[in-house]
Amino acid sequence: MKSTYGCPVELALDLIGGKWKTVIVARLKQGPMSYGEMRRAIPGLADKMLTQRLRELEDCGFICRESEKGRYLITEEGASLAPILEALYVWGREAAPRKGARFAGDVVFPPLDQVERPVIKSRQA
Amino acid sequence: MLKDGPGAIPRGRLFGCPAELSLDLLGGKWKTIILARLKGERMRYGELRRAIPDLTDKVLTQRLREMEQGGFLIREDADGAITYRLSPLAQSLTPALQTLYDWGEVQGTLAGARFHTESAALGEILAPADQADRQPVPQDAG
Repeated sequence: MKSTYGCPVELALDLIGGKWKTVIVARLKQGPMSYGEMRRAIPGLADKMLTQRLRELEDCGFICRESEKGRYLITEEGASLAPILEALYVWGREAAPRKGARFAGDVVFPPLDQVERPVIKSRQA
Repeated sequence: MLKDGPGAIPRGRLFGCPAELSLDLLGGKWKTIILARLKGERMRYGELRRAIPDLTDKVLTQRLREMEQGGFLIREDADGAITYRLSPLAQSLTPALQTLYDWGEVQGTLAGARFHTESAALGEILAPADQADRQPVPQDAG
């Protein structure tokens, strides 16, 4: 981490570290996932990249692994990103029709006013 | 109406989730920072340049052009000065930008990081360009 940033937004973007990490944390916010589940949920990300991004997210403390099943789950620090992820989610939902974007077939979205608040899981969960 | 251009996505492209689409449309760190700076105000090129000192002229110019073409920025010529402001599409991003700002501010405070914005207000750390203009401080005035 640098000692001086231009503004808080720059610090946030540096710490979160790019698109795929943000997408991974957004997925894990919904609940623990195995590597295979994550691989299927994020089809745009290659195996090698997913492995690398998961390791980086573990190193910076946003996610951790269960001792028994080896599934990935979000830490309290990762869960502190929830408002950012929700805001990106809501904006993406609204922008999609205007931009002509579609979402992968297996994803069913609730109406925006029923978007679930995140369940915060502790590191020991 | 949205325009096509760099940063635009192909029609009908499939995304894994809405957050992925948002991050694709935002198109990286510096564009997001530019949007955050323009939140709530119109700025001249020179003001943006000083507000984001880590971004070179070339990259800033390029990013501004991409964002204008992507429908995020409105470029206007006001009395000979070029100014930029957020389009309605970009204004709808304000809640997302605010959450990034708030989170970054908390993390920065916890980690003892400092911000140019705050230090400029306090006059503690000056950008190199400003230091050159600064009058030397008399030593041992007593």
